Amino acid sequence: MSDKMMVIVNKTTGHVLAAATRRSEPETAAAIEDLVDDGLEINDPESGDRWLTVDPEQMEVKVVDYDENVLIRPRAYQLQDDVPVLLALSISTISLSSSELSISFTFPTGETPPIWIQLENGARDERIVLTEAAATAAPHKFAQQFNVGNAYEILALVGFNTPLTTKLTVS
Amino acid sequence: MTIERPIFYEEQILAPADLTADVEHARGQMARHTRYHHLWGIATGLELTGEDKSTTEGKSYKEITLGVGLAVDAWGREIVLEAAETLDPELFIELNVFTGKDDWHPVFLMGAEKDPTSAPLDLGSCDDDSVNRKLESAEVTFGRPGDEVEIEEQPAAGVADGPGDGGWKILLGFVKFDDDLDLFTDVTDSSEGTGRRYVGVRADEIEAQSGKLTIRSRPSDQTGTPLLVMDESDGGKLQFGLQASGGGITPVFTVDSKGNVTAEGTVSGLLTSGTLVESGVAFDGMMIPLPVGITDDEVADGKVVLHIHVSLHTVKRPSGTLGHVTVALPVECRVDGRRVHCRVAEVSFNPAIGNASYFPAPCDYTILAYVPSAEEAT
Repeated sequence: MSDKMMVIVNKTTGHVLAAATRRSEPETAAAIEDLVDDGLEINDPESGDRWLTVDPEQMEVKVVDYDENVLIRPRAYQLQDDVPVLLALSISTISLSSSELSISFTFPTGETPPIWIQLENGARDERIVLTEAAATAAPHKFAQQFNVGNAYEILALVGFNTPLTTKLTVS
Repeated sequence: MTIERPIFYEEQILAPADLTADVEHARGQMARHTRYHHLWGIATGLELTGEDKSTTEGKSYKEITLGVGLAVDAWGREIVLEAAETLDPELFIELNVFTGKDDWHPVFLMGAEKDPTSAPLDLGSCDDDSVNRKLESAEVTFGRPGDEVEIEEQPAAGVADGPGDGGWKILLGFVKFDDDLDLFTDVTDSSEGTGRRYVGVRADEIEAQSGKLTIRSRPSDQTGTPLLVMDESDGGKLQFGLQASGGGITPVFTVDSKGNVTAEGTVSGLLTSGTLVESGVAFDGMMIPLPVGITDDEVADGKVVLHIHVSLHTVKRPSGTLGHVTVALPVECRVDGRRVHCRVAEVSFNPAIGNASYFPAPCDYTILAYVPSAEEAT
């Protein structure tokens, strides 16, 4: 077993979304398309149904030191200076209205965490990605038009916080 | 057309035309050899270099110099630049080729046939035909961006022609020009994949005499550059590698005369028949990586058949007091094509903890890529 592994991370926030190893060339990062094809599927863990798909352009592959804990629960980690760090904070709330998305979270004093949120509707024909390089205060609001009654599957990534997957209807 | 060669006889009175015909015969023969046995381009030198300068107002520009060297044009004409020459911004302006400050404008060299300049009080004949020398000179010219791709479309020589009067353009590099300063600001050897062209050979057969034939991408004093060697020592071998000091080879790939192949790296891209294997761990939602050297297109085209086995990646869990131990039960562990679907339900033996929790999980995989032999494929 090599002492290296590959992690698939979100380019904006550094959140680890998946991890993998391979016997051949274990210390060389594979191309992102080789590992996710047209996207990484985030599945509903309870039903196994596809929740949403993250485009390859939103992610990159990094090689890090092998860590069994990262391999088992990659989404509990964020790369900080290319080292996986276990996340301790959780996103408090996220809500949708016809004109905005609002998200509340905490983060260490003095930090400016990046935000990356993907929304996908049930028909899979609408995929929205919202990003903010550095949030300065919570709750953070994104001005965005949504149709009342529409339902979205959401993956929210905020620095220092564990990922949040949820389903919301615009009210 | 017949090529005419002058001959002479005893006590012949030689006219200027006889002597000129003798010289022209040799020039024509040399030009035809150069033209049809070799490929035109730069033979040595003729490098464009830029020196940083400032105007009196403190604006930066570059003084660009063309170094000495020799080139051969497509007519077989030798073009010699025996003294370095500074590129003239006035000529650039006069040619009206400027298209923009950020555009790379090609710089060309051409051979030119000129009469020598007579001194004002020359004591030669007043007859205009009395010039008894021709200057085979070199001229620099500029083009508009894109002119360099039309370089092969210049008028070609007839098969019996001599070196002509010059005018064939040879690309030396590119310059940028500032039309506010009326000066050059940058220089480069190539732009958008088009660059300097060097002389070559036309040959269907190359025969060495030492028992070793070497093809180099750079001169022999440039170590670390690729070269190919066909060597009759050790029974005969073909080697590819990088140039070592002294012009020798550090081989990375060798084929001997018995067909034995020695490679320092990995052989990829196949497609030789057989099976390639990859194994490791992959997480829910991603693709099982293909073995190195196998592509999606080869799989899609049916040139490679994949066999994939996955099983839940299990880990050693911390032991606990009976009643507090949590176990991960596989709910799903399969592949759809190469896409992993792997989930676990974590269940506690402690009834107080309640229902199972579901998580995406990693799987151990083994993927075999089978390449049928040519016989099987047909």
